[in-house]
Amino acid sequence: MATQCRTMRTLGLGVLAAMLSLPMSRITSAAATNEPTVYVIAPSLTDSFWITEQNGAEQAGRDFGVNVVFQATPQDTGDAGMVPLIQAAVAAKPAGIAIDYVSKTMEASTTAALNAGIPVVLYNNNRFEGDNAPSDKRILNLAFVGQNESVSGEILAKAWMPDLPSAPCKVLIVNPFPTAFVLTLRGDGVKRALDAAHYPHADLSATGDEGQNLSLISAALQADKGVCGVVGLGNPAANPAAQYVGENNLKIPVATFDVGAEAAKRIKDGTLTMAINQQPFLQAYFAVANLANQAKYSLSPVDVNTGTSIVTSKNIDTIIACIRAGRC
Amino acid sequence: MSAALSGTDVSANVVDRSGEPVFELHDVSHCYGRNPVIFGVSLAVWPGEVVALVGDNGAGKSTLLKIFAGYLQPTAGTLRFLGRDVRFRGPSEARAAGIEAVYQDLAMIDQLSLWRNFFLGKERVRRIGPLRLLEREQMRREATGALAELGLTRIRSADEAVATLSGGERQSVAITRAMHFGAKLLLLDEPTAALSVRETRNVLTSISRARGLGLGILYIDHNMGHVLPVADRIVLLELGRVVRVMERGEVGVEELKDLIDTRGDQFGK
Amino acid sequence: MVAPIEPPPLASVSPMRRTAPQRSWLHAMLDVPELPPGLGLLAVVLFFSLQTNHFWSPQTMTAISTISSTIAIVAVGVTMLMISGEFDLSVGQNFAFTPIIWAILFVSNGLNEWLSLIVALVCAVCVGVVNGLVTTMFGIPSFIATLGMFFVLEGLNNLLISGHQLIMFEPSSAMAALGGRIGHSPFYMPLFWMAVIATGFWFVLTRLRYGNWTLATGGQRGAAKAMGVPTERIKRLNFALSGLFGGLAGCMQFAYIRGVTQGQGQNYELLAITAAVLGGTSLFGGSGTIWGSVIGAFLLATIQIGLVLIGVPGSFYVTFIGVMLVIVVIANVRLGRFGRFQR
Repeated sequence: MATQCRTMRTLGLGVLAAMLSLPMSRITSAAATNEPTVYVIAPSLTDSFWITEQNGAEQAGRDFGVNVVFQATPQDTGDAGMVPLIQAAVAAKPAGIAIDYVSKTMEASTTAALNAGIPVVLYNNNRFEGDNAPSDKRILNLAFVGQNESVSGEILAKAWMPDLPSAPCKVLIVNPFPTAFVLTLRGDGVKRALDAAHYPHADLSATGDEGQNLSLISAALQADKGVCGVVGLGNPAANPAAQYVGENNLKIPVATFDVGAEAAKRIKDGTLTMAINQQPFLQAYFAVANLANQAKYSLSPVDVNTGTSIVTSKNIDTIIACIRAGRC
Repeated sequence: MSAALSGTDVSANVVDRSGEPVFELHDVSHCYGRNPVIFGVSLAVWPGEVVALVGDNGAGKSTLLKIFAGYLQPTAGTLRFLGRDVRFRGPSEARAAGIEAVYQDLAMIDQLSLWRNFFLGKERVRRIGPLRLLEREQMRREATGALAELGLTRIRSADEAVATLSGGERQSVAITRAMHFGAKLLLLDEPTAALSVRETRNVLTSISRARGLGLGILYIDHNMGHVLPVADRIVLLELGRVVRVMERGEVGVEELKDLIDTRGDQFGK
Repeated sequence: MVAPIEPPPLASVSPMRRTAPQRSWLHAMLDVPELPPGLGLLAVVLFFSLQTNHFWSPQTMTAISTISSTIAIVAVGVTMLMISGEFDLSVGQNFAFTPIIWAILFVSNGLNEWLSLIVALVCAVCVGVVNGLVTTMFGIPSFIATLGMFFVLEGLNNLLISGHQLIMFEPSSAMAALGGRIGHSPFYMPLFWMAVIATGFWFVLTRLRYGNWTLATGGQRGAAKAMGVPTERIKRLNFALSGLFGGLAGCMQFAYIRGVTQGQGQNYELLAITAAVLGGTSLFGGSGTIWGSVIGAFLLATIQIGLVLIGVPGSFYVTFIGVMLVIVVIANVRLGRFGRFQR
């Protein structure tokens, strides 16, 4: 009995050891290449926005001949999730790290990277305003690839306002992810532009689920008949709004941020008026390009404004092709 | 059957009922929610006496035992322990008073070792402010000592798992545990169910020994062959009421079985 | 104290040994429940050390120690609760809720930082107390009761902070105490607090009567209750502990990162349970080990960071953990460890 027990225990440990040999093959293949390695640290692996970023990063890896490691936590835990990943990236001493600088909480790990002599490029976010101002001045001079969320909010609102009836009429702003403070920034930008043009606005907190949002939005629009336009801070909010407006033949323009597959369809059929494409693919793409050129040719990284391409029914077909390729 | 259990025959036992009973129920009734299950039961157990509670399923035997043990509080009636009116708010109060119960399925916790089971609820502790530090070595020694008397040769130390004990061994350990803590009243719920002949004999011997030490014992059993050799009094319970009380020697096994069944027929079961 | 009654000995049986028999050192070692996860951790560390020579760098130590400390502190509370037979699915939201309250009080409203911390921790305990009361008084499975609390806190967190982030970079003694750096080492205060809490609760579980009662309550509630153990009170206390440590760990992360959003702590309820299970705590209650859960937390952190170090893409980590968790549980069940007993 005793010997049998002992064999069973070793069996358990053996299984554990066997599992650990699984990533062996993967590692050896990566280490075999002589390409420089570049890390891209992101907040989420599962959001379609970040999946597009990952596509951009990996394409740049292929185009510029660097090994790209895209790291994020599966759940969007924001800066808390990214900080240890950056620390680990710094420990790995790569040729460069792309950091999504969401607030001053990222400063310590970014400084650590710079102190270790690792080139850093910021992408998607470089929030330095107010309390977020970094004490380490080097961070202010880092190249940035992306678009400021609140500026994009203003740009969208301004491009969209001609579609609205003249002021004042109320605009409903729907937030599908109250968790993500970058959406709050978008909303702030939209509100700034609306305030400047004297349009009153109201907020609606929604969820990531389009079905639920349909109920929330229909209730809100029925309760307040004075709403003349809806802005969805993300597709999960705008798609149901467009659906409701279309089904009830309402003359309410709907605008949104980012263009997913469903949003593209709705722009084509006219229920969604306008979207602003952050071009996430380009953000990670040019961030990696910067780091690759630095590593290989000692060229200094440059700022890239990935622009905010406005998408309407006029240019939707091109965008649809882009989405299919995983680049939008 | 009686030949196999002859070693436990104690027909010479005489119960002294002159003093106070160890435990007494006066006109006790109990309801489970809105269902009444016990109706006006009066029952007493004297020191050095074994009272057997018999009856068909659903008679209320287990419920009555749980009332004795403080596990349940009766909805009506009074309880007297050693002559004083008592009301136990939980098993810990009953145990503190000297009532120990051994349940058929609630005897031991598999996940704990022997000594932890032995002292569960009555751990030897050293108080340091609000903390109760376990006196582990002392408890190990005490448990080892107490169990050694039982002759459980398969167990090597009080650190061993309870899961390796057989059903009969567990029952014996539980009874020994009850006696170790100075019980005055011992309550046993189906102690011989699913035991082998030899294990049954051990359990009945333990019961006799406990009786010999002056404990009052109330026990429930289905098997009439186990009841008769040890019981001084037999209480027949039917649908929550005491219908007959018999002294030792009044009835034989077959007659007892008939009584239970007959009563069942009379109530149209 | 009544002297034990010595029953007359049964005839012709050999008495049980009065002292524990000599066991081989190997046998004794294999009976230590923390050994398999400990060896697993050793194997993982060894593996990554060989794969990359950056494993022992200060940055790696910081990353691994900070992640594992926060998971481990939450896991201590969750482990005590699991041993007593219940689950807490709300710890992840409490992990954000408590520091949000702390931050709102002292960052946004300028109240004294220590007082605000105490208020926030009291709220954390209250969450646990409510979980405990709902579970014990209404007899609802804790899985459901704490799931309900999860949604309540999720809504509250959104109401309180509405997608924004609160940051605090001014010197603060409370934040330094909870999340500051330890001297010039790569280690931070959460690691220290984790060691204190783990040691304390290892002691509680194995050496105090409360620990014995927790084990009994989870092992077989009916038997424990019949023996006079106050099972409901034990569960409620453990729920409060789980709430306290969920909130405390969240405050430590806020003190370390210096910012708090409502997204922090997502998945922590599952990570804490995973750490406990990897460490050998039974899902069915009645057995478990505090140090095992700590080892489980280190296992999770080491694998996550190790995979980053060697350049494996992010999705691999989660899949790997899922597979490992199932294999470990299967191995434990077959080794009879679930059903393992506490000596």
